[in-house]
Amino acid sequence: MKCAVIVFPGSNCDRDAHRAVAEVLGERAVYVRHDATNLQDADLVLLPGGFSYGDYLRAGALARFAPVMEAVRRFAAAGGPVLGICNGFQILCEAGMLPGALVRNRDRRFVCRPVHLVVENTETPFTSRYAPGQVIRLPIAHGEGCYVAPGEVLDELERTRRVVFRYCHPSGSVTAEANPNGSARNIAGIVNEAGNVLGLMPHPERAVEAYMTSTDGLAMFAAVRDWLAGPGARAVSRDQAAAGATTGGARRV
Amino acid sequence: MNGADSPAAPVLYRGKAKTVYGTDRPDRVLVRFRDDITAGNGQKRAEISGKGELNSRISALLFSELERAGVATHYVADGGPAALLCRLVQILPLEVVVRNRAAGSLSARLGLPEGEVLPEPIVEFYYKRDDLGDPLVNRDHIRILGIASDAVLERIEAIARRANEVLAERFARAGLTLVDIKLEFGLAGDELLVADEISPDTMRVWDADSGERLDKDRFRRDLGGVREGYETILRRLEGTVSSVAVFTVCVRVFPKEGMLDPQGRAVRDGLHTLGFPGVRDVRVGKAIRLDVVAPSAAAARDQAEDMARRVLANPVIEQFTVEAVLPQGGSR
Repeated sequence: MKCAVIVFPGSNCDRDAHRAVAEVLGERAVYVRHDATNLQDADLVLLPGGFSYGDYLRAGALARFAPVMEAVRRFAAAGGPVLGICNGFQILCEAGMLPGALVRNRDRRFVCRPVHLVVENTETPFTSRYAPGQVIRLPIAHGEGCYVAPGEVLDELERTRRVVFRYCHPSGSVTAEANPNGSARNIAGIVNEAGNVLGLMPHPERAVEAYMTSTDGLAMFAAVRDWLAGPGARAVSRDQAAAGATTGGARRV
Repeated sequence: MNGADSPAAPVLYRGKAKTVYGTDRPDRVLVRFRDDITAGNGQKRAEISGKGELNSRISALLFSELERAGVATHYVADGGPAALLCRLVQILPLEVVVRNRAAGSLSARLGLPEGEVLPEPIVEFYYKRDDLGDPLVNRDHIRILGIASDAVLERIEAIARRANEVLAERFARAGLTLVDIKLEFGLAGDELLVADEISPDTMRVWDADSGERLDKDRFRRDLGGVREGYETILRRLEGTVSSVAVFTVCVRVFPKEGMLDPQGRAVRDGLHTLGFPGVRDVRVGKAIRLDVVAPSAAAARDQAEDMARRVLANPVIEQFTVEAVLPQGGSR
């Protein structure tokens, strides 16, 4: 597996992400700059956390204009897996690749602590190593992670099982107290319609080794590796991606 | 938005030399300039090939010049061949004439020799009524006819004088003399806008050196070379550079109604602590000021609205307003 870690001006979790893939998982990872126009034949695109473009205008609003985002769009349209973490999730929403938006946390505070998440959909390229309903523990670190969307969009996300992670109590129950930022329906992560673009506020790349107090994040990267070796990924033609074709090949979730 | 080419574009009005079409936006019209030329209240008629296009281009250029100087007009942008995209206005039945030199009916009425420089620009009003021959009217007439109150008429006069000043200066730079000009005004809501057209059909323009007439007098007085006169005006205007028109537009972005605004709440709580218990609600948003090069203030505003929809505001969580910030000395 070759993972492209996109580096925007102001990204600050790019090294953590690179390290998780390259050193912990033992796969290849490359940094791809915001002004690049190709993704160096990567199999996975990772939009890392940070404060791209200083969060100017709105978090993620300006990153969508970076030249590399055109390549990311083409890659995603051709079915390639794209993982947006924290600021990466904000960028995906601003770019219209995921529905909804992320606004300031309900309690106005920057929240930096581990949270529990219930895995609601294990049929995505990112979650196949989790069990349905499994509770995992990942850190969050954000000031604007409150997920909002119009009611009908939320209903559609639920109906099509595109809510992948929800903030929950360690027991797995989804409660208001377990919601760290006020996100609608405790949503922590969603996928696009085709299932190959995942955005989440928690940081899986910061939970990959024992000293980090949780290793639950590693399974997300390992799952993509599994998926790339499987039949779903083989349907995705990299040539098509390079040519900018938009025939999605990822399996639906 | 070139609806006039499609049979579906409704004709809203057909005048002696222009046709006004509806567009896909209710607040915009397409004004198409025809090649028809008339004089003496329509008694003398002809068609001069290419005149529509010339008048359209001259009008666009001069409307832009006024916009740049802060004089609000109905002009938005170029509307394709011989056409202008304009704001929909309610035209007042008034022709406002500003004269810098004696000519035409003024010379006939007062016996002043044509070309005599007036001690100061003067303003005349004519009631737009073809059946009455567009009679000269005064303030009292205009008030009792219900066309405009004294206050509105005062504003019309001030705008007309300012427009004359701006345009006379612009013509002088092009080696031309603005002898007189007829303006029409329209209302868009309560905004008073210079409307109709500003072309050699509606003003007298002479060569500054030779005094040669380049406007519709060539047609009225059978001097020939009508089209050539109009072409000279356009060429001279285009040959002298206008300053770039920059319009300042302010986009204000606020959290959508009903959207929790934690910042606003924090500020409200702070204000309560500070001794302002009367503060019921605070919404914190942002103001984005844009300096936009555009043919008109309306076009700059349209662009800013598009920008707001596409990036400056996120429609999922925010709402926005767009306000034009007036240029210095503007008459809006």
